[in-house]
Amino acid sequence: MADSSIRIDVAGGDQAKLATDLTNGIHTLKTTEVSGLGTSGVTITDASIASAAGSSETIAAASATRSVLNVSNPGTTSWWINASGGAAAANAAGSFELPPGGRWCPRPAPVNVVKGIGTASSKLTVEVG
Amino acid sequence: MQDLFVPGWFDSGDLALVATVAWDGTPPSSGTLRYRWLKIGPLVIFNIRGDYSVAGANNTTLTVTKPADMPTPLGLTGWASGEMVNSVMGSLSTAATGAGGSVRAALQHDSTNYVFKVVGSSISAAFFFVTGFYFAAS
Repeated sequence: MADSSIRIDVAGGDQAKLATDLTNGIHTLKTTEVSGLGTSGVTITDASIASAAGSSETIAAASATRSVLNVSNPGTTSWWINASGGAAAANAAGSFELPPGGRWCPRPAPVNVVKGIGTASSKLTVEVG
Repeated sequence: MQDLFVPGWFDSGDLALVATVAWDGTPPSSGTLRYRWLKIGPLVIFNIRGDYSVAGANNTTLTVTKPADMPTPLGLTGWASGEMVNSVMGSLSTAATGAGGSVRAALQHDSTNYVFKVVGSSISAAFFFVTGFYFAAS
């Protein structure tokens, strides 16, 4: 083929109408529609709590763009997590236990604030992205 | 193109088993009882292990009540309270080093609790495991 054009023959049809339909069918993507495409991942930030006990701590602040939340308990005592925005409390409705060695990696990651409370002074490893 | 489903997961870690463990016959004693479960989306995978220093006698049936922190099983349509949910794998053995005898094992509901039941021929049990999977609400 000498040039880049493509000829489509439509038996018994209307070449001009076909060309119009094809043109109308091509939607030019806007920048906002392709934003984020082509990216291969997200930046992960260490948000670990070094040592806390006795009060509900914010594990991850509310973030409408959060896509990653990984929480693990490397200690020897339990943490309790409230994933629905409320204060965390041991053995309380709305909070679940993350025992020693336990890991919680919710997908999709919650975008609301997530809180936790240690039952003793111990670390909680948190990664957000 | 379909969306890729990336399930969240929860790993309980290696825990001491405090749920009820019931034997028929004379129960073994002085045991180390541990369990661990992993939930990936709606799928729960678990392993429960009991290793005793004092063997029991005339043991054919082991019943382990589902630990309270493990997700509630979800039976298929038609399942009703009091019925088996699904088969699991189990072992009753005289020692941790043995392969165990022939047993059948199931996750079932006893009309009050979900339990893991392992049934085999009569032995002087000193070791058991129950492992398998079930579905839970995601």
